[in-house]
Amino acid sequence: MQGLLHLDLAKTPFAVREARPMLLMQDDGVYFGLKPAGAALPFAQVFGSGGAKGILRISILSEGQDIPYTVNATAFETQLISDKGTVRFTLDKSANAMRIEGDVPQLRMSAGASASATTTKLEDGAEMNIGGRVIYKVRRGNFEFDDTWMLTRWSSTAPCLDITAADGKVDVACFELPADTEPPEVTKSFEACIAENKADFEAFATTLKPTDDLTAFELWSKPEKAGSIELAEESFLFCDAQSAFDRVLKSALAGKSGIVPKFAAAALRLRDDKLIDAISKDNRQKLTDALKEALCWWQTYRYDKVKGRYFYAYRAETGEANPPWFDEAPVYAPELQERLSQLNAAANL
Amino acid sequence: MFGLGKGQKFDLIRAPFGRRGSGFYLFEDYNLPLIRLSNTKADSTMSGGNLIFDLKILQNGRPVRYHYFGDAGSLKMTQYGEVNGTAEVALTEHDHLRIRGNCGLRLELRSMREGNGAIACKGVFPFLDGSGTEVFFGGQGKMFFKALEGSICVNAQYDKAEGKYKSLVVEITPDQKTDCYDIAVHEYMDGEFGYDGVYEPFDKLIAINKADFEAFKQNYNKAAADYQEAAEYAMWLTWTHRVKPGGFIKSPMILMHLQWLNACCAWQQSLHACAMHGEPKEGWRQICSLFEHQNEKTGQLPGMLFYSGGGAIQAPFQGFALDYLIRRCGDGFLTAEECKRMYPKFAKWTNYWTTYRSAKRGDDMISVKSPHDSGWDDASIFKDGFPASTPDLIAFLVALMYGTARLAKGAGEEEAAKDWNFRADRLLNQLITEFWDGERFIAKKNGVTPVDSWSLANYQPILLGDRLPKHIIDKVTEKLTTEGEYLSPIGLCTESMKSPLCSFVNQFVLGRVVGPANMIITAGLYIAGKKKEAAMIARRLCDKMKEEGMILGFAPYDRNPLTGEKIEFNVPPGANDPWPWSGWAAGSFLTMATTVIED
Repeated sequence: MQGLLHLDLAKTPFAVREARPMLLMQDDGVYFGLKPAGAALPFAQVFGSGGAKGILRISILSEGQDIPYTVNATAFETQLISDKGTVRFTLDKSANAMRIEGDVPQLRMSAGASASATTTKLEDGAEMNIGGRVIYKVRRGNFEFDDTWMLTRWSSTAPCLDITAADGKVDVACFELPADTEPPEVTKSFEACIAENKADFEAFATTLKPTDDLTAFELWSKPEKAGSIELAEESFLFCDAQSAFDRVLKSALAGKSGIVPKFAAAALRLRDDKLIDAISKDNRQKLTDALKEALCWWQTYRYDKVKGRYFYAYRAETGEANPPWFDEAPVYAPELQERLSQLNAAANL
Repeated sequence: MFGLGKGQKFDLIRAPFGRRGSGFYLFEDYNLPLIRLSNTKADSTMSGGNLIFDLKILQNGRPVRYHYFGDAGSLKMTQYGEVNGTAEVALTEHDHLRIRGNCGLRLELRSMREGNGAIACKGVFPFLDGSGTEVFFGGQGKMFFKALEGSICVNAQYDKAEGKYKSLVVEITPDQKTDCYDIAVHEYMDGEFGYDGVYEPFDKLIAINKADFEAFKQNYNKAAADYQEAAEYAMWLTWTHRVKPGGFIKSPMILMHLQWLNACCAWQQSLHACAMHGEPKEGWRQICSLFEHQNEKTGQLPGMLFYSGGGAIQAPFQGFALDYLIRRCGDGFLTAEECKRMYPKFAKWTNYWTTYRSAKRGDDMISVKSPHDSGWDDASIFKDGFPASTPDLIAFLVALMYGTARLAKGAGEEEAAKDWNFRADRLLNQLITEFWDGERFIAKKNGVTPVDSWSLANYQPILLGDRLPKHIIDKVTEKLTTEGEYLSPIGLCTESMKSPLCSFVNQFVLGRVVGPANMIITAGLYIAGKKKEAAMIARRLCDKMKEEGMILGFAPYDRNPLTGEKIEFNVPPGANDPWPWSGWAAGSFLTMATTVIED
């Protein structure tokens, strides 16, 4: 990474790969949130307006009142800087947790009045189920949390976790956990988490072709699940054989039917750039099998024997939301013929 | 058998027309005189569904008014005043329906939401071989329209500027020579159209459907004399809600609704089993069905299953259901093989509760952090918050432990059986000594602080029957048969009418008389030896359901029981009635009418 990458949290959430907690900016401030678990949307749609929403608004208080702060978000640490002190955030990947520490008088994490949640006050924090199950452990500081159950609303009262500094410090860990799982012990220091994330990102960046830091960061930190087309397009960004191959294979498996086979071009690229040579025979066979299955689908369900051409039956198969060139089915798109030619070649590599 | 007809006692305004194993269902629109068609697998709910078709009978190309009549075999729509203007629908268990008729029929896609029109449609594809037309509904699957006789024309208008379909109309026209049509409509959620089965003669389909329903009825004993017609209707409703394996669902289960919460809910499968005294082996299969989805690591059973997935958790009803079946039908269905098969699974499920819902006292006491774990989502036993140890769940767990012990014994695991019985006895003793205050069972916050609740759930431990001491049985019976406290003219209120929290408005178990709660209590009273009292309570609710239908719950009065103030609430049926007819209610009725009330 060339220098320190600064993030605009309104466009690029602060996150790490393989962990769901994140920070993002919404209209009224910075929010703690969770990456969507099952998204197969392009990155921009996942985190844009209408995409992932924050769960708890982060605010800094002094004498019970909100005080303004500026945001300094970089790739591995985000700071909220106020006149009364600073709150720092990083991610503890192995614990699937957001780590928070600061020297502010009071930190508040709260949801809006309309939030529907089931919450429980714990000895050392709170458990909340909003968008996912998160346990908030207050490791330093005194806290207040009202988990009153509102019988007729089928919801706890709107969550508001107030942490008051003890000895001038606050320290919180926010664990995203599956049901019936206790939070792990926090063993890494804040700085160690930053260093680990930096090292992981830098190792990831070496698998990419030369690209700007922001693109590399977004690839590294985005949600795991992606659709066939996105995976195929992503694979071109990698120079590392295994990283590229994994994406092509996932793309082919996700796109075995009903979607334009852009993974075919991606598979041919593996051949042309000689990346396929570094892939094990077993894995190559898996890709071949997936490509053949996709080809078989197109030949069986989307091939006009009379015209000798492939066709789209539905707009969704084009990978575009509303292609202007799509009229009534069947649609014999020239681009599709080329894709199937590529698929035929790739399946017989 | 009973008939379903426009303006008759059983109509399709609330309870849809369906068939065992079919995803399709039809219902009468509340506002317009129309029959509408949808697919339960497509998750298109009545409150906001998009994938719903209007069925319009045509004369000279124009829609005409019609009435309808149906039974288990088919549903026939007939133009008013015309013998020859008919369209008849027969569902099948092979993922398609058939329609025959002698005048035009139009299927028009129309969302429940104003302005959404044909938004569910994502594309239309006439097959190149001319065999039919496929319509794509995105994540809600596909349909294939095939003419066996007559012709089908599918018209869809796409708005390119808005990027959505404005209309989807399927016109069916009779054959010019025969003046009849016969079409098939297939539905499939995954993959491509590939039906290679036969299309039975229509009349044969009707006969198959009727025979299938008759066979399903054998799962139940005959109802008490006053309830036979309603019981047959409840059996029909349950039959229509029975899904076959497909998608995420691995074995036949019973949905809660076809068009609202169209899930197979865990505890409801066991509730239905309680009624199957005609074929207890089938009841046992029902109880076991959720275990096919058991989490291998934790032992958890999912609380709800949909075609597309499952999750959550619900109360461990299985032990009570097993106990009830054995007590009433004998244990002949529990072969050694079955015991060996199911004992480890029951053990894992029981240990799930004592591990992951542990009250952390070092014993088997449990507590929950959500009311949804108990199923009584707004019961006042949770009014002080969480974690809460509640008598309804503890009682279910005791029953589950005894059930596990029984299976261990049947599997030849004598030592394990002893251990499970010991644990069950201990937990039962704790329930009695710590959670009984002399008048009622109570819930406790943090396992320590009593919750001052007047919920009916406090009496649910009666499901343990004669395992409870006589003085508790007698007191519970006394409390639940005292008029004006829990007992209303139509059954037991889920919150005492003397409670300031009691509400008959839009709550679930905060006052209304609810079928499953009454079913559990009356079945419990029965096996506690209080048969007369059980039957008396059951009759009250069954009389109400006989008249009003298989609705989940009822307000016994239209006034607040404490203040006398008149309550304003929707008088059912309403276009957005939150209390729709349900498989759950039908199962509750069947247990009460066929196993609790005796002639």
